[in-house]
Amino acid sequence: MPKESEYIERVLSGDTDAFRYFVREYQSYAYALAFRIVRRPEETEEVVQDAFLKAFKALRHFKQQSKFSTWFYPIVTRQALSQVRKRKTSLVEIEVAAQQQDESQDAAHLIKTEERKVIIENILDQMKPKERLVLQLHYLEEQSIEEIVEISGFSKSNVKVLLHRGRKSFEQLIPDYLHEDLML
Amino acid sequence: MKENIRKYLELTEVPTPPMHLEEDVMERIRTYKVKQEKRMQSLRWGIILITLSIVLFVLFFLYGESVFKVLSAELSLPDLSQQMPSTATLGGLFFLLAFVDPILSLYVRRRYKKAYGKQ
Repeated sequence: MPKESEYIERVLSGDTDAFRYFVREYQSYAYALAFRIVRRPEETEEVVQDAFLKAFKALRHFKQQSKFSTWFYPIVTRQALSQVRKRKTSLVEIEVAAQQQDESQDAAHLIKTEERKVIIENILDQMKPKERLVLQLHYLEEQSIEEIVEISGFSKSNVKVLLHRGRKSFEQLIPDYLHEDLML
Repeated sequence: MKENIRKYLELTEVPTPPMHLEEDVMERIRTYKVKQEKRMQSLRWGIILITLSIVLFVLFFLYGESVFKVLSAELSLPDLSQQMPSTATLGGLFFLLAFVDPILSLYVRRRYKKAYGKQ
């Protein structure tokens, strides 16, 4: 089984199809990572495609002192964040989100898993993309601060600040009744 | 609360990448490679043309007058070397053709792309 460096050499010497190895190997995590920031499947797909294309274009600059993933995931993160910045959230969307939130707040007792899921999804939608990403990587994927630094390309202190802020805004956004419900 | 955050987040799902993603990425890379090759080809042609025009300009500057004199004598025409444009005019023309024109066309193409999107 050839090593990553061998595939890189092949791509650099003109064998475009050798890049398929990297796409196959990293598409799942790149997609998950981009989705955690972008939160829309159709845009996520575009972000992942753009990130792979950027990686392909910049491959000659990859020094190979780290793993391909360490170099590639920050590209995905930057691309996803730039996609979020480009997006103009329509007023309709905000209204729909607010309506969903109100509706879920009405059902104050015995919230089903599916409804809880909707509420959490709405809360994540309301959070800032960077805070959302760091929070999910840390709590859901159980990544350490150092690992998040590698994946996101943010500085260590920035990750700590984002994690703290993310935790705070998540706690503020979560309705009390949901918290009580989960405690039952 | 930390454990609760995890519990809440576990409720969310990340969709799996679509099956066609790999092929779409490879298709975009192939398209990029083709475009890149075309760009390199036109760059090569540009370099050849600029080099050729420099060589022609130097030759004209060095031997232009005598060539015109010989031609005028051979064709029994009035001395054409007297009608030759000045070196400064030729230099300006050469500069326009060799440098200003490609830069101008690049600028126009960029403006066009901005106005009408990627072509």
